[in-house]
Amino acid sequence: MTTRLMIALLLLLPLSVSFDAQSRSRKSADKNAEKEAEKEPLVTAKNYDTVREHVLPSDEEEKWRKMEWRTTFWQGVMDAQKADKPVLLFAMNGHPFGCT
Amino acid sequence: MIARQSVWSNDDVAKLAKEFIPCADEVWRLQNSDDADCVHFRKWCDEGGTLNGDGPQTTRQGTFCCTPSGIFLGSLNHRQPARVAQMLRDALKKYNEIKKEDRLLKEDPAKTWETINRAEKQYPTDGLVLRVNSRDMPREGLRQDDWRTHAWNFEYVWFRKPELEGLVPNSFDKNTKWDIPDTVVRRIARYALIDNVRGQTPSWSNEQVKEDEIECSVSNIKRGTVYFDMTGKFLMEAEGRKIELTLVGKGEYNTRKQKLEKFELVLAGERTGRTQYNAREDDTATAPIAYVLHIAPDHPTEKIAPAEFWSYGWR
Repeated sequence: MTTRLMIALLLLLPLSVSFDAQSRSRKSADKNAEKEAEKEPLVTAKNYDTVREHVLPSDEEEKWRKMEWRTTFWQGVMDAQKADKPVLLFAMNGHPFGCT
Repeated sequence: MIARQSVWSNDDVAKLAKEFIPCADEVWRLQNSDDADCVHFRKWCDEGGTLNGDGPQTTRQGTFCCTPSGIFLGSLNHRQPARVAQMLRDALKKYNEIKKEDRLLKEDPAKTWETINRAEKQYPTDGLVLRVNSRDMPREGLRQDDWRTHAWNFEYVWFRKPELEGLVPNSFDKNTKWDIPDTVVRRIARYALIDNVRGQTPSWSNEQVKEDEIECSVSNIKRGTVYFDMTGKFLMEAEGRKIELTLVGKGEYNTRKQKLEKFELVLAGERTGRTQYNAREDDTATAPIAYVLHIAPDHPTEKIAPAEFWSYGWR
């Protein structure tokens, strides 16, 4: 979480600096320049890695993948039959390991 | 998506789960289809009581334990690992008290698998599978103790090999530039770039995609690998929701293996509005959002069909 907070601060900092700079420049710049400054993209070649790291899940957020999951109920039944073990089914609206 | 992390990342639950065969599945199909796996599920799923209220159409989402033969062992729908762990202990005890001939199926369930209609059977092994990660960008005024502040989600977008025609040119030099084919860009726009950070949301229709383009240019060619940069723009708009994004990406194509070894897109921009189930009812104002798309790793949990796979029109 600390790493993610640091990334968040890094991402917020340029936005805040950019806002201050825009405020100062408004006194002298014309409206077209103002519009251009507001439309500066949130991702560029410069902050590519920072945005990427912010979005991608951390190891902790992906820890659930380490269990030996089968991704359909019937694959679970087939393997449970072979191993003589009970089936543990995690079922959600939308596949739990996809977009849910 | 919270249970995915809070319950199944817990060490006690993971240790207990080794005594089971753990599996995950989409519950609507299990509740409604006539396939054999769904009929099997419905025979026993409510024996512990319906988990989410009454009525035949009430969602049965939750965690269930059963014998392969379909004897109910336990169920609950809860995010607290300790409660799930207790249910697993109780279920395991019950399992061991049932005679082997009763807890196992009389016939080999592998025979039944061939009759079951699953989207996953169409996984495009020789095509391209992109994993789409989505998360809100930082902004002021969010509560750190609210799950929605830390929400993230993922989805998959599938492409069959014939759909990838033109994804990379037949020949390259240092000045080569090209556009990613419309078919690929449009599927990304419609199915990947949706506001699913807090929960499932419908895709965009073709008419709702106002702008979608990805341009590529070679940045280096070294030892048989072509390195290329990507830039692009996306604008999707419908009644009650809008997303506008800028894209920067990096790709690597191995000319010897004729294989795309890296295809990574980072997109950021603004989202506005909500849909019925995406938990934005109090967050409809324009706010920053970002996505990372990359080739999905070769792991069982990464081979899940896209949520709206049925609308791809694949046969």
